[in-house]
Amino acid sequence: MADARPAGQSTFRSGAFRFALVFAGVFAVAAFLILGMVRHQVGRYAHEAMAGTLKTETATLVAEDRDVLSAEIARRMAAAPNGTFHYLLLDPAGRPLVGTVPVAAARAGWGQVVMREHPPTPTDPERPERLVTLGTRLADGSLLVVATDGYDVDKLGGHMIRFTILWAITITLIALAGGWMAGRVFLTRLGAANAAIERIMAGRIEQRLPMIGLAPELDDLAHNINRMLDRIDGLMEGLRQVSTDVAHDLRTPLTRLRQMLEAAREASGREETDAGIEVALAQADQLLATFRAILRLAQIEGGGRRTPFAPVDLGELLTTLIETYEPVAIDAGHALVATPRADAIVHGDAELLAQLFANLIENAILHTPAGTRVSIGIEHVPGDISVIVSDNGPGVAEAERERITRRFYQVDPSRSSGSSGLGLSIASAIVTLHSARLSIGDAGPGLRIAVSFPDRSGGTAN
Amino acid sequence: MKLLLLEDDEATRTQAVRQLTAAGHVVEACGTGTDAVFLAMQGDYGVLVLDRMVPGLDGLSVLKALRAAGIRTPALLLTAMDGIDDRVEGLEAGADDYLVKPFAAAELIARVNALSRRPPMSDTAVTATIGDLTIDRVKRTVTRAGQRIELQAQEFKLLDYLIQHSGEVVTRTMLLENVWSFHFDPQTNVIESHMSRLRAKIDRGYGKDLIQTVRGAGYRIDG
Repeated sequence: MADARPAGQSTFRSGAFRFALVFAGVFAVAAFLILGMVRHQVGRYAHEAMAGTLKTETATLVAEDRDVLSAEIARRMAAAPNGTFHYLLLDPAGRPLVGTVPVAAARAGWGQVVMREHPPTPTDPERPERLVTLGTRLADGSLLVVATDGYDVDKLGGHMIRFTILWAITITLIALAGGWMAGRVFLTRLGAANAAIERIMAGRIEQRLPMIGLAPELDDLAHNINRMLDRIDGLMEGLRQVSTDVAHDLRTPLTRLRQMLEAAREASGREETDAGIEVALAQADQLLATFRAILRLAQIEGGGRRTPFAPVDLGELLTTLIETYEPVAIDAGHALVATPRADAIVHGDAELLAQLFANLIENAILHTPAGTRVSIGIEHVPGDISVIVSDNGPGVAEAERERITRRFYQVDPSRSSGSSGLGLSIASAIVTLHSARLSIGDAGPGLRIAVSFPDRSGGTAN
Repeated sequence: MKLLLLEDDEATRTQAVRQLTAAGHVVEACGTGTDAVFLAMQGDYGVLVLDRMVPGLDGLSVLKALRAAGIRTPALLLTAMDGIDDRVEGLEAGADDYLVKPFAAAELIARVNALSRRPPMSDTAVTATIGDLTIDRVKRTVTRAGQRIELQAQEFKLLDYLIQHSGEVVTRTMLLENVWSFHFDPQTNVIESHMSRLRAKIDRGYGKDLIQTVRGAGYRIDG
């Protein structure tokens, strides 16, 4: 589980958030385009409406009698000094008769001119007005110019642009917030599923994924993973059952065989027969021991245990084991060097942990030549308690290391040393049961096996 | 001594009866749990040997029923399962010992003998003497023929266990379970290595060897 991804993933890196980000971008662009089009259309409409009023105003004036036209214009200007329209009337010679529109705008057809409405004052800064003008040549050659300011249309356009930008920003922010929340929900749900997978990998194979929710396709995924787990479970159970059944079924005839050998030994009383029976008994015992180991392994791997885990002092456990194995090591021509420390408490099954480390120590003694030094120690770093069993023997080639925990695997078949070939398999199963990690490495020279337990004490243990 | 044996497999039952009888016991055997309860309530047995897995009322239930009825006869549970939980369950149900099938005849006999003399007085006493050897369980000292002998902690435990069962055969498995709390098969000669050191300390140089090797069975300490 060393390569398991950290559980606390950032919401901003979640898939949901990235989707939301993309959608926010698309939304913002779309909103921008739509509002841009609306602005364009509204601007055109406003412009047309303005042109319409200019035409209508011009038409009403053209309809007036030429003689009273100047008076009518003056009347209209006086009636609404700040009105919509500005006027200019020029005689056929081009001299202005009446009106406020700058003479620069005096030409027939559409035009534009900038006009200062009044000189600047401290309270009201100079505000040049952009006027749209419509000049009409009258029958007698004089020119009538009617103008109106484009200010409202411009203002509308400005409003629309500001509104568009504001709206694009708002919609982006809303999408981001939504994406962040969706990402959080997503991660929470997926987190539960991930935690379940972690537990399954830690050996609790009866566990299943919770439904993820949010979308039927995600539930389908969880459901399919669960079905896959069921299938794997079934296959594994089948395999385990086969080896367990074989061990179980062969045990009964073997037991009978053993009993008959014992009876034969009692009955014979002849030296040479006795010796033969003795060898046969030893072989039967070896077979029975292997079967016991297989059944033991099946039981540990099955995980169906009822004894609850309790705090186990690894230092104490190892000290006892070292006392136990020191004479064995010396008799086998090995040296046992130990540096256990006191403050290493893990949560586990003391009996199984004793077997685990006994197996590792025996493995080191059995599979190295005489004269080898076997070292046992505890390394305690924050969050991790490791028991290290290493030797300075010939070691195991890197390619082989992964295989040595397999059942019945012998690095050197000619040097099986009478072991069952299940010691490291059982050790590995016990490690898995304790959610610990078994790493097999190089002691340079020799083999280095480390069992790392998660340190749950968090430094607060008394 | 009179024993009660509950075992449903006829071949195993016959074999066990033969072996226990050969070891000098009187054996009454039955094949069902109900019979076993009935017999145990009536008779006066030294040890009950109960197969855990029998059809109907199984050995564990028989034991629970008997313990509930106040029958305190030492009981040895036989089982084909050797899981940790099974053993704990058996001991919690009131079993005094637990033997995993298949077992050697010597193992069964040694266990029955060990149980038949419970509760032993010697393992609660402060000092115990075997021949000219004396151990003090409080001071953790050993003397033989007046001479102090220094023992390692595990050697002392081993000697103590032998003395608690002096005159009886103790098997390797009994030693592993009771001295080292090992409920698995070690692949190395743990017992032999410790035993040879213990013997070198308490027997070498003295006239008589207290610890005897019983071929095909185990060890025995005699005064």
